[in-house]
Amino acid sequence: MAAAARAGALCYRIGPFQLTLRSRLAQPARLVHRLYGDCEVLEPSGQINDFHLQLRRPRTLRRWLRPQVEFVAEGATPFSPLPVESAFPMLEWGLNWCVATTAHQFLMLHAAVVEKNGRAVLMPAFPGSGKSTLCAALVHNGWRLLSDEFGLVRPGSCEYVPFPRCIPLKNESIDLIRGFAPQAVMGPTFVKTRKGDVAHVKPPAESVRRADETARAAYVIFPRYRPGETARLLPIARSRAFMKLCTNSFNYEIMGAAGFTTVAGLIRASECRLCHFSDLDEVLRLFDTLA
Amino acid sequence: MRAPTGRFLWEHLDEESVVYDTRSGQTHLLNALAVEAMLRLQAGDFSLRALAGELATLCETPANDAFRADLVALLRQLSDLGLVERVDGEH
Repeated sequence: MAAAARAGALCYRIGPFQLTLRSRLAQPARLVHRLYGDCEVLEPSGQINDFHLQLRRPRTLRRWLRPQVEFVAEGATPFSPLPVESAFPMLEWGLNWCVATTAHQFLMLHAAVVEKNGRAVLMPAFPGSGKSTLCAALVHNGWRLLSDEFGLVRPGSCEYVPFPRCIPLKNESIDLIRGFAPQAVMGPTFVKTRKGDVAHVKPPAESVRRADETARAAYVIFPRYRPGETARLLPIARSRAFMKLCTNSFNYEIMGAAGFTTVAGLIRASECRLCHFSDLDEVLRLFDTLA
Repeated sequence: MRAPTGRFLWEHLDEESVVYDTRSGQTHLLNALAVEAMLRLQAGDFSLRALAGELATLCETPANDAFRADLVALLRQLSDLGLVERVDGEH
């Protein structure tokens, strides 16, 4: 896989998306191999891919002072170059950008989705919610990862479409998950990125293997990490949950009436709760009552 | 006042409702009183006095000046959101 990416083009599939990656850089190729090695690798020719991605060294004079990397998607460079050490995080952010700006065949909620016993839990992302930390803990304790970032739903459906990617952990969460889930495969820590220190948790192989299995909406849980607080579920009016989902979507407004009816279907199919937590063992026991 | 018909998608949830305006593309959260006002204004034109009378009965409260003032504030909010419209000649 790494050799393919460095030699020319690596084609692989993550959930519903097929992508081609071109890069002559060693670091991102190695990490793609290590962290996405369970994904289906496709023949480079004859594929109609959703995204054509490239990581390359920009040819500016700055490269003589400090090597940089830029992300290219469909020939465009949507971001400013970053230090070359940040190539892999840039690939991850870049793929997020590609999906969020183009995949309007789905309603895209900014949320993690996990599943157990056929019941999917949507966890919308709000700053400081602890969503990724909780998601990483859950998927290494019996829950299936559908996504840490995108709640993908086909219009009119109540089923979440898996998109099992790496879970990016930030700052204190990195060591927390290393200790809590030592079986988790993690990439290196990228220090002082624009989002702080970042490390990526590999999506569990079983979640990747089941990436074609959708999961039915059962819960919308709004996690909120609050230091020292006992894990508990609290009520939230479904109307309020509805509005929070609308405002936390990548493309609700673009979807128009289809976005409204899809969110309405999800809310009707789901129980909605707030979840305050601080201790991972406690909150995992709480989640097991949902499954 | 009146509220347009055929333009809104509704989702009634618990004691509140979410309404989607297909013309503006905006989604609004409405409390039960706002919903009752809108549904009446969709059914036909109402004067402020007549609407206040109906809603006061629903709220089991007198349709006095204070209630009418609250209703005016509510209708102004709904009007600002484009959910209700003045009928020609109304002030």
